[in-house]
Amino acid sequence: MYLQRAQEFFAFQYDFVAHALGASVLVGVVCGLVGSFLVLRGFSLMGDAIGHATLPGVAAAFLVVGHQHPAALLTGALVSAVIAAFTVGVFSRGPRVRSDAAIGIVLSVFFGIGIVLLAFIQTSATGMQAGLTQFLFGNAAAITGPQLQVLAVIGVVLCVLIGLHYRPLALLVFDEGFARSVGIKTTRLEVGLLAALSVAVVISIQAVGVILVAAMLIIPPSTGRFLAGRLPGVIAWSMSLGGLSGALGAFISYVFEGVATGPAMVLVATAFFGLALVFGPRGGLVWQVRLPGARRSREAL
Amino acid sequence: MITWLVDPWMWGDWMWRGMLTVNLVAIACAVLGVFLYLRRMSLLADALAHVALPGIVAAFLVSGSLDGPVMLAGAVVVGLLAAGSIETLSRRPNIRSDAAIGIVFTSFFALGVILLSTVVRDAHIDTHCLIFGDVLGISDRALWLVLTVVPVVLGLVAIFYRWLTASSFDPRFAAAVGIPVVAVNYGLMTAVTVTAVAGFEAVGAILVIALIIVPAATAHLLADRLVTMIAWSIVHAIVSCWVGLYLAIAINTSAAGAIVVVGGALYLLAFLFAPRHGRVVGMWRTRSRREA
Amino acid sequence: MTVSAMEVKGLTLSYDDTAVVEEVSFAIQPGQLVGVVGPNGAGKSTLIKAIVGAMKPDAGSILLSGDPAADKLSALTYVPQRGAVDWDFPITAGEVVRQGRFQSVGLLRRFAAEDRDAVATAMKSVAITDLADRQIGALSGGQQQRVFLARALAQGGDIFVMDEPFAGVDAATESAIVDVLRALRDEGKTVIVVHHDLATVCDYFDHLILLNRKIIASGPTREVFTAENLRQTYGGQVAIFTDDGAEAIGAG
Repeated sequence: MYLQRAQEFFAFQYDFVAHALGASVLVGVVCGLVGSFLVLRGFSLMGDAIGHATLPGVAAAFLVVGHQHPAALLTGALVSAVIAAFTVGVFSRGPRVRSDAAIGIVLSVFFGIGIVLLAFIQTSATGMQAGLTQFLFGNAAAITGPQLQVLAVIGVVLCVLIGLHYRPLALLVFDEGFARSVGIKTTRLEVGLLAALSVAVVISIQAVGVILVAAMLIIPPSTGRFLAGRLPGVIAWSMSLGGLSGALGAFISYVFEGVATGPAMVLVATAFFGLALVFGPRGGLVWQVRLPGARRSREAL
Repeated sequence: MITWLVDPWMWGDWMWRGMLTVNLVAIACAVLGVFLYLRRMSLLADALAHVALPGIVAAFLVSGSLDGPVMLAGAVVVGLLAAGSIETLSRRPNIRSDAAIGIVFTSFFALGVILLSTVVRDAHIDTHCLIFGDVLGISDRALWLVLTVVPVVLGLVAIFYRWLTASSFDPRFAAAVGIPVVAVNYGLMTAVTVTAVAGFEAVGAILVIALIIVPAATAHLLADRLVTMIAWSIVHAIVSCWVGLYLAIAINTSAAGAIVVVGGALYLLAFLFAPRHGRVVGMWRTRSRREA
Repeated sequence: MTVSAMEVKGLTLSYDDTAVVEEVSFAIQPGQLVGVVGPNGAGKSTLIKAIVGAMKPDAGSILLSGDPAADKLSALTYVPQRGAVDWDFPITAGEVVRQGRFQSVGLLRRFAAEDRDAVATAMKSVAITDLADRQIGALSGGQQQRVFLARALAQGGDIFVMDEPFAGVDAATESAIVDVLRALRDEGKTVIVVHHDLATVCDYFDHLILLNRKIIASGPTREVFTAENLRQTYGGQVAIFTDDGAEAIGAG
């Protein structure tokens, strides 16, 4: 049975399969790019907070529009993602705050608001929230052709924008002090990075879900760091392995009934990470078997 | 007004069961949360709460049972495994600790979700409930679990209070006076996992994080001493539970969600208006200094 | 000859397979005020961590009065670098000093009169009694350092180990701390201080250890504090001005 479904998948007999595949690869590639800067900047868990924080936006947009209009839901998601990023910034500054707690607070409270709205929609007269829970763990198969086109255009524009700002971003993640000294507006750049993060999260949540989108932002770049020593290499690995994880995730999710796309692609990405952790040329475990007397110094990126 | 407050209690025993469970869980989370927050382990708590889900599933796969002790054991084993993996990963020079947390818990959580939707689909595990909680549908099992776990956790915190304080404030000093800092750390993580599992049925895997972090963060804005901070944290927990539960009944929505939203609102209030460390006071102080 | 208060033999310490301290050996007699001096990254704090048992050595041993340090940790009192704690922590100065008694009162025993006396005496000897109820972050750098010194005094012990106690404190506090350290030495205690101000070394310490990953010299301050030894310790980073035998030395 699984074999048959696998054949079906590759035959692309159904349009939705191609769309799911496209959306999942898009998620992997875009998140792989944005995530590289995020992980190196030490913002890994911002992705988690912003992912969770899109839920209230989706639900609120549904309440306002009254039905599942994709553009409206994603706009709602973007608005709440931006508010969440801003809120983390506010709550991390000043005395008597912990920036890690700020992330945790925004993550859980925004998610709580989302749950309240979802439950409210569920019990209210419209009663059409079946599609909304798909945002939790992702359902790439529900993405239509025109939707995919829009997502792809946004994704490509985002990648191009990041490409144009590659140099300042690379300086920012490598050495903020130096970046500032050569006249780069680091605060503005950071805001831009968080905006890029918000957009990346929003175009990803339909396929991977709000809860696990963080994984696609963190795991492929971390894998890349075991495979390449320089930033362009890390990004290249991160984007390609992210895309590949997306594709395999979509495949697995199609073949095995009941497996949501999001968790499937996350586990594929984790498998790649595991391989890189063990065999990666940059700090992989097998290369670290200690030779007598040999000492390895910290590898600087 | 009075009827509105009193009526829910007449509608069946779910009200007192829900109120009791969620208050106890919230108090335990609030107390543990103070130490986690001060040790900058908020996000590790986040990870542990997520990881308890695959823990429960793993326990079910191994034993075929969903009894309280089995769930706790599974969650603790998987939780410590995750904590160990995070620590090992973050020791590698090319992985920061926040990335390590992100990698480990999302992977474990994804695995848990997949197992729930495939291998153990036929078991009576209510996925929706594990993730989002159901305050007003507390089972006997959950009630007993909470009634056992919470007093034990609070008792242990009381007994090890000095070790917890010293190792949270100044770990090197604590180690130097012979406090087993590593054991205290893992003990704390075990307590968090156990409390999270006990709280799952009531508030779910994700919102339990709010019960751990938000009260402590609020209390830190109000207190200058640890005992007062713990007291404020408990007050925050209780107020959010009561207000949140009534709110949920009034507008007919998720009780767990409502409790968390109320908690978040209380944090915002403290953040702005806390008497000494609030932002409004801070701004007013800077302005009067400038004028002086 | 009496048993050394502390004897370190062939100690090697490393982080992530990178050796920070290599084959360090020295001995300290009881009742001395000892300075540990060396450039940044010389491994001073690492050495201290190993002495107080917060770090496992790769090789070598540490003996306190002839016994392995691990068995005698209670004889050792540690004052960490001031920067190592969280100033936002909700704890008062008095509560920090009370922590000094945790070792002797254990987990649950109440503070007896003798414990309360020890805390009160310690606070009095560094003049912070009236700050007892202030939150630790609301104190000045010098006051904070005194609080940690008071905690160490309340703790007692035979060997005191202090990591940069004079970093970021005012002159009044520095001289108050030095007085306390001298008083401890005169009671027969051994006091080991990581220090970085070369100008005061001769004035403060009886015994000096020059460290730069390895021991450059260890012995009575007068014998060890020489231009040649300092040049070896600091490489080119030290400027030495000699003026009729009186040396003024500054590290940069």
